[in-house]
Amino acid sequence: MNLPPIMGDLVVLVPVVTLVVFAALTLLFGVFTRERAALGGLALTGVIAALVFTVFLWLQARAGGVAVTALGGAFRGDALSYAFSFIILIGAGLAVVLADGHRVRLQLDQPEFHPLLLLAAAGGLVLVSAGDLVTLLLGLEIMSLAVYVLAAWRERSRVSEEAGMKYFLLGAFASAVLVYGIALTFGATGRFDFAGIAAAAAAPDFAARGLLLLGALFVLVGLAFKVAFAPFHQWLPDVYTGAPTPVTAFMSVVVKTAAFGALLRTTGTLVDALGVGPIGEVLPAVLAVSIGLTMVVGNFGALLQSGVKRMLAYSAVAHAGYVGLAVLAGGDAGVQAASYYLFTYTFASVAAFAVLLSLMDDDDRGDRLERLAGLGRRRPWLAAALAVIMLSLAGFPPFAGFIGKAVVFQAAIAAGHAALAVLGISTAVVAVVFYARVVMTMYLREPDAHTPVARPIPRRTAVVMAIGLAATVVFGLFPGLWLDWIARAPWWSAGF
Amino acid sequence: MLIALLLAFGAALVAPWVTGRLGRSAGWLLALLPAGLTLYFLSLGPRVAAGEPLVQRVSWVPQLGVELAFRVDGLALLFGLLIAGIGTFVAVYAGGYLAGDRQLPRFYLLLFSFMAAMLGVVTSDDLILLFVFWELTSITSFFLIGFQHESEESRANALQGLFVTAGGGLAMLAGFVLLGSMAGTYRISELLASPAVLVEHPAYPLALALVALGAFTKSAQWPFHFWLPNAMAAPAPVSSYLHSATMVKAGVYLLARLAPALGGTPQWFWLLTLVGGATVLAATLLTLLQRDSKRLLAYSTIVALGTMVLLIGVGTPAAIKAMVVFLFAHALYKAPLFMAAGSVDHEAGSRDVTRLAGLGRSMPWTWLAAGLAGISAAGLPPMLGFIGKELAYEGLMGAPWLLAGLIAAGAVLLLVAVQVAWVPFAGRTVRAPKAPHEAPPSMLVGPLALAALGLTFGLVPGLVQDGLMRPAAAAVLGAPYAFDLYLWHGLTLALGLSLLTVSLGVALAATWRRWQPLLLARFGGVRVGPVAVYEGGWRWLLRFAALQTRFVQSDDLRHHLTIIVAFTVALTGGVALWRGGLESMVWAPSGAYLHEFLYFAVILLATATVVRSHSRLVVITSLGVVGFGVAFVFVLFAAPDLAITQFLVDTLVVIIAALVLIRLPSSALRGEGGRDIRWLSGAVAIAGGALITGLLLAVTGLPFDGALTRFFEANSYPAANGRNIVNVILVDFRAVDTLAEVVVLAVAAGGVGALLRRRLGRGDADAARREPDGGAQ
Repeated sequence: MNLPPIMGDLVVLVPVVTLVVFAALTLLFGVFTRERAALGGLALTGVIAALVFTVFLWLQARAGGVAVTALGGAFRGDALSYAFSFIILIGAGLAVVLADGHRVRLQLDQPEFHPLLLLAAAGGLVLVSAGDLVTLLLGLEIMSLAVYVLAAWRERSRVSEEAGMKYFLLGAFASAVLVYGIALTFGATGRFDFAGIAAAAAAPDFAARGLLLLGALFVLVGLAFKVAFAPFHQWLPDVYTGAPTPVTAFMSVVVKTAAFGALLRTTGTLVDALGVGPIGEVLPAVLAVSIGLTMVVGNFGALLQSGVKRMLAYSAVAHAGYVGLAVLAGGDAGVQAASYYLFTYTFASVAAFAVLLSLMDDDDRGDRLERLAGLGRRRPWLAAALAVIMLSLAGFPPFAGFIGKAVVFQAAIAAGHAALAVLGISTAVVAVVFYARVVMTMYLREPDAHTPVARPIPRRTAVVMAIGLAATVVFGLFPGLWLDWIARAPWWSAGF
Repeated sequence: MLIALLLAFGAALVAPWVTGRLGRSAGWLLALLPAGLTLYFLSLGPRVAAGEPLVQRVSWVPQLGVELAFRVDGLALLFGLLIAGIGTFVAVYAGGYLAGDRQLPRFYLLLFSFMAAMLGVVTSDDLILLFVFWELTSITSFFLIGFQHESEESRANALQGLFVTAGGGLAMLAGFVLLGSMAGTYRISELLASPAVLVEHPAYPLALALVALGAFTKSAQWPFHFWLPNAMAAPAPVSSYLHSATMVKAGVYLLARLAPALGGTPQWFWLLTLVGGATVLAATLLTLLQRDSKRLLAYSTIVALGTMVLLIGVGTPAAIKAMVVFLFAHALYKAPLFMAAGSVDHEAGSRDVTRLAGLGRSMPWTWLAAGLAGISAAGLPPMLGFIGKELAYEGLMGAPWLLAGLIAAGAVLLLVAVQVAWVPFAGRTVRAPKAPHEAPPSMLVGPLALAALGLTFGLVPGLVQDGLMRPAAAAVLGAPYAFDLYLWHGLTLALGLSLLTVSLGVALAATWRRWQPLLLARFGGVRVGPVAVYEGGWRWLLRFAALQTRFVQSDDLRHHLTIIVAFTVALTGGVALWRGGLESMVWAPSGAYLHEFLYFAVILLATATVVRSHSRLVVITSLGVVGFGVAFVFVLFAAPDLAITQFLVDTLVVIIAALVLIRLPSSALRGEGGRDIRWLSGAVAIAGGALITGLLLAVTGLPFDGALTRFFEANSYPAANGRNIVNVILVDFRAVDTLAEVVVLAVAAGGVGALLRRRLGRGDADAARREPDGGAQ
C-alpha cells in the first residue's frame, strides 16, 4: 500500500490553526477581561491573518503549479481549497465586522460569540481542504456544531431557540446519513481518501460499483442538507429567520461556501469514480432532479414571503440551486463558475443583511416589506445600495449577479444540461418579481405613519455595505479580475 | 462609440447635480449632451452611407467570449439618430413638464441612463453585450414608468411591464446562448455573415422562438401587448420617448438586426407575419374602445409596431424599404403627438378627448405641432408618414389579407390622429377642466421641431434617402439596395388604397361620437384574451407557490424528517432496485444459537415499546434496553472493548434523556396527526430500516481488504510502542483526527455552556413571547 508521506507539507494547515488559535485567544480575552469592545477586533485580526496566510499559500502554489498535501493526504492545498478558503475568510471577516457593529443591541458581546464564529470558519476551511472523507466529516462537524449554537443565540426568542433545535436535530440526522455514506464508500473501495477512492474505482477488477453508487448517494444526501438542496432545505427558512441577522449573514456565505466546496470535491471524485454507463448516470441524474427542485422551491417560496429576511432565506435556497448547476456541470468550468458565483454572492448577501439590520427593530425583529416604503427618498444612499444588490441578486446586468448566472448557465449548457439551464432561466424570471418588489417598495411607495425611520448606520456596518456594493459593481463590470485569476491555475481536479 | 456611451452614462450621473444647481433651466443645458450625440451620429453618416461601418472592440469577459464590441451600420445609425435626437427634445420638454417637481434630478438620471442603454442596444456587435444593455433598458424604463406615481395600480403596472419584458429578455438570453453555441461566436456581424450555419442547424426553430419571444415582449406584440397601454401611467416625456422611438422599438430593432442571419425561412415568415398581423388586428380593435388621448396613442403605437414586425416577416426588399421609412416616420410623428397630449394634459387638465374642445385658441403652437404630426400619423400628404404608408401598401401587394388588415388599421390610425390632434383643439367653445393657456417654450420646441422634420422629409425625401434610408434597408436586407423615395408616386394602386383608407377613416371619425359610447358600454369592462391569461397565470403562479410551499414547508419536525428519510430511501432504494448495487448481499444465518436469537428478540421488543408507549419513563427505559441489548451482542461476538463503550455511552444517554424529557411538557411526546400520518411515518421508518439492513448485508458480503489490519498489526508495536491496536490508532496513527474530535467536543461544550449561561435565571414568560417576523402571506 502506497501511502502519502505521513506529515507532508504541514504549512497548509496554518490558516486553520491561526483561526483556532485566535478563537482560543478571543475566548480567554473575553472571559478574563471586561473589555468586550475589543473582541470583534481580535476576531477580525485572526480572520485577516488567516486570509493573508491563505493568499500567501495560494501564490506559492500557483508558482509551484502543484497541489500539496499534509497528514497523509488528509489535508490538501490546491486551487479549490485555496479559492474556497479565500471566499470563506472574506465572508467570515465581513460577518464579524457586521456583528461587531450591532454587538450591543443584539446582545452578541458574550465572550463565546466570536470564538464560535472563528471556529465555524475554521471548520469551513477544513471542509474545503479535506483530502479524505473522515477529515471532511470532522470539518463539517466543527463548523456545524458552532453554527447550531449561533443559530439559537437570539435571546428571548422562542423562534430562535426552536429553529436552532430543529437545525441541530435534522443536522445530526443528516450527518448520520453522511457517515453512513462514508462507511459504504469505504466498504466498496476500502479507502477514505479521494485519491484512493478514485484509484480503487479505476482498477480493472473493481466489482462494487453499485455499492459505491449507494454510498455516493448517502454522501450526497448528507452534503445536500448543508447546502440546502431541496427537499433537504426545510430547516433553512426557519433557521435563517430565527438566527440573529449577522449570524444569518454568516451562514448564508460561510456555511454555504464551505459546503459547496466539499460537495464539488466529493461529487467530482465520485462521479468520475462511478464512470460512464448505467451506474454512472445515476448520480448526475439524481443531482439534476434535486437541483431543479431546488430552483423551483426556492424561487416560488420566496415569491410568497412578506418578510424581507425570510424572502432572502428562500432566495438563498434558490441561489444554492444555481450553484448546483455549476456542481453538476463539473470539471474546471464548473468549479470556476461556482467559485465566481459564491464569491460575488458573499458580498451581495452580507451587504443585503447589513442594510436589513439597520431597518429592523432594536431587538432584531420586524422585517416586513412595508418598512422599506419611501426609503428611496428618506435614505437615498441606503436605498440605492439595496437596490443595486437586489438587482444583482436577481441577475440583472451589469452587476456581478448577472455574470454569475451567465457563467453558471454557460457551464451547464456546455456540459449538456440545457434543459436544466432553461428551467433555471425560467425560475430566474420569478426571482425578478420578488427582488423587484423590494426595489419598488423603496422607490414607488409612500411611507405611512407606522413606517419606522431607519436607524443611523454604525460606521463599521457602512464599511461592510460599501465593500459589498463596490464588489458587486466592480466584479460585475470586470469579472475577469476573478475569472482570470482562477483560470490561470488549471489544476482543480488534477493531482489525485 | 465606447467613449460616447461612457459619456452618456457619466452625464446621467452628474445630471441630478446639475438639475439641483440650475433648477428650471437645467433641461436646456442637459439637452446639450444628446444634441452632441446626435451630431456625432450625423458625422458618422457619410462613412456609413459609403458602406464602412464604425467598428470598435475592447475585450471584456474573454472567459465567456464576450467583448465590448460596437458596430454602427445603417440600421444602428438610424436608431442612434432617433434615440439621441428625440432624446434631445425630450430632455428639453421634461424640463418644462416636470418643472418644480422635486424628483426632477432623479428623472434626468433615469432618462439619460435609459438613453445610454438604448444606444448601447443598437450599437452592440455582441449578443451578450446587447442583452446587458437590453436589460438595462428594462430596469430604467421600469423606474421611468413608475415615476411620480404612488398608487397601487401603477406600481402593479410597472411591475407587469418589468415582468413581461425582463422575462422575455431572459428567454432571449437563452436564445442568444443557443445561437452562440450554434455559430461558435457571439459577434453579431459574424453571425450575419454566416446565416446558412444557423438556419440549417437543428436547434434553429428553438433559437428563433426564444429570440422572437424577447423581441415580441419588448415591442408589445400580441399576446404581450397589454403592458404597453398600462405603462401610460408614466409622465408624458417618458411616454413620448419610450413609446415613439426607443424602448418598444428595441424589439423591432432586434428582429431587423438579425433578419439577415435568421430570416428567409418559412418559420421566420409565418411567425412574424402571424404575430405582427394579430397585433395589428387586436390593437386596431382595442383602439376603438379608448378615450384617453395617451391610451389612444399607445394602442396606435402597437398597431404601428405590429406593422413593422409584419413587414420584417415578409422580408422582400420592398417590404424592408417600407419598414425603414415607416419606422422613421412613426418616430417623428408619434413623439410630438405624445408631447402635445401631455401639454394639453398639463395646461388644460385632462386627457379624456371627450372632455376637451376649443383649445386651439389658447394653445395655437401646440395645435400646430399636433396638427402637423397628426397629418403624418393619418398618412396624408405631404408628410413623411404618407410615404411610409404608401410604401407599406406596396410592400404587401402580394398578400391581400395582410393588406386589408393594414387598410383597416390605417383608417383607425387616422381616427386616432383626429381624436388627438383635431378634436381637443378645434371648435369655438372652450371645454376643459381648467383654464387652458399655451405651454412654455421648453414644451413647444420639441413637438414643433419634430413635426417640422416630418414635413420637411415628406416634401424633400431626398434629404434622408441616400444617407439614412438606403443604408438602413441595406443592413436589414444584408445586401446593398438602391431605391428612391418620392412624395408623388403617380396614380398607382397604393394611392387608390390610400384614398380608400382616408375615406374610411374620415367616416369613422365623423361618426365616432355616436358609436363609441355604445361600443364602450358593450365591451368596455370585458377583460378577455391575453390580459385575462396574464392575470390568471399570475394567480395560478401564486397558488402553485403556496401549494408547493405548504407541501415541503411545515413547522413540524416529524414532517421534515419524514420527507428527508422518504426521499433518501426512495432515492437509494429505487436506485438499488433499478440499477443494482446489492448484488453482494448474502443471507447466511449459519449456526446461530437460540440465545443469540433471544437477544435480538429483546431488542426488537424494546424498540416496539419505544414506539408504542406514551409514558416517558417507559420510553427511556426501553431505549436503554435497546442499547444494552446491542452491547450484549458485541459481548457475544467477542468485542469487549466495543461493548464497554456501548454500555457507558448508553448509560449516559439514558440519564441525560431522562433529565431532559422530564422537563418537557407531556404533549411533546405524543405525535400529532391522525392514524394515516402515523401509518405513513411507520411505513417510511420500516422502509428505511429495511434499506439499511440490505446495505449492511451487501457490505459484509464484499471481500474484506485486510491491508490496514495487517499494517496496524505489523507496525503498532515497532512504530508506536503500543500493544492495544485500537488505542495506538486513536492516539498515534490517527492522532490528528482525535485532536480534531477533541476540538469538536470543545466546540460543543463551549456552545452548550454559552447557551446555558444565556438562559439561566430567565423567566419562561419572557421566552414565551413570540415575535411578528416574516411569515407567509
